[in-house]
Amino acid sequence: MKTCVGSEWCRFGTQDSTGLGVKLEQMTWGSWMPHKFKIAVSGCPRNCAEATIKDFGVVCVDSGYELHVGGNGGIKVRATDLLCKVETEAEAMEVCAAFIQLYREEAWYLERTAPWIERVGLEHVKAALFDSDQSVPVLAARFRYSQQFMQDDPWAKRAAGEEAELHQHLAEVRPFNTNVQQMEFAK
Amino acid sequence: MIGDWLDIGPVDQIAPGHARTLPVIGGEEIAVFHTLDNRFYALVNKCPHKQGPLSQGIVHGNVVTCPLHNWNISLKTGEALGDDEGCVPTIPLKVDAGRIYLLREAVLAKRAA
Repeated sequence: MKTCVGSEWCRFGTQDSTGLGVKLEQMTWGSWMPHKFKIAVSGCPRNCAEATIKDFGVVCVDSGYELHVGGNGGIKVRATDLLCKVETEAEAMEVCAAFIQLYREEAWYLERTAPWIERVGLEHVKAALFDSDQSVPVLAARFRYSQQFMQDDPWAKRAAGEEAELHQHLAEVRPFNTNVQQMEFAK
Repeated sequence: MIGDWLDIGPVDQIAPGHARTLPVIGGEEIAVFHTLDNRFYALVNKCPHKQGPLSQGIVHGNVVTCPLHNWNISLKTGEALGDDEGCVPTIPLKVDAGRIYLLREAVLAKRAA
């Protein structure tokens, strides 16, 4: 997950890209994928977060969110294809969840989205997502259902105090300090 | 070894592969280690390199790796391993009837006079 600083910190930002990035991270962390999956949210088309070379890239614009898929940096660069435009953050997250679920269900193991989309074609992905009004919500619901069982955060438990006793001192050695005694005596 | 031994409590208060600390008022904090093969060691809790907290390092074999710069410190001798040079004081430790004891004079050795 990568974002730019967004409308909160940048004069060019059109949407709260960091906020959406946090929400996408919270929605997707811990999920199993055919291969690694990179996401970015850029707050404007200047694209500081380089969303157009990510598996799922969001480019915020004045009218909403452009959703791009199938990008890749690295040895074989591939710029993303534009999947669709949506108006709200909630829709962007819904399409992200649905796209991830489609990728999880259809791609080969160890196949990144870029070669997957080159193999099946962008039209296939668009058809699977948008031919029926029900595809996106159904896929997204499947993704969210499976995430219920994947998001087990060991650090959150520790931060909430689990095994806190392991981080306490064993005890404290307080030696009899003769210097202190002498100083008090001198007074 | 002859001397006074300080009882610092039962062995099960340190999980295997973990370490816990023992502050000494006016002296150097001590890290007590429990290795995965059930041995116990005590060192001054300061890496000889940049004073990293060794108690927060990863314990493997009889070695702890400093969390700051990955120096490997022998728990037996306190010496830096590999190409690094440095040594951290060790505190003689014995386990008796499920309790850990540290040699008192070594615990207090670094105490400001």
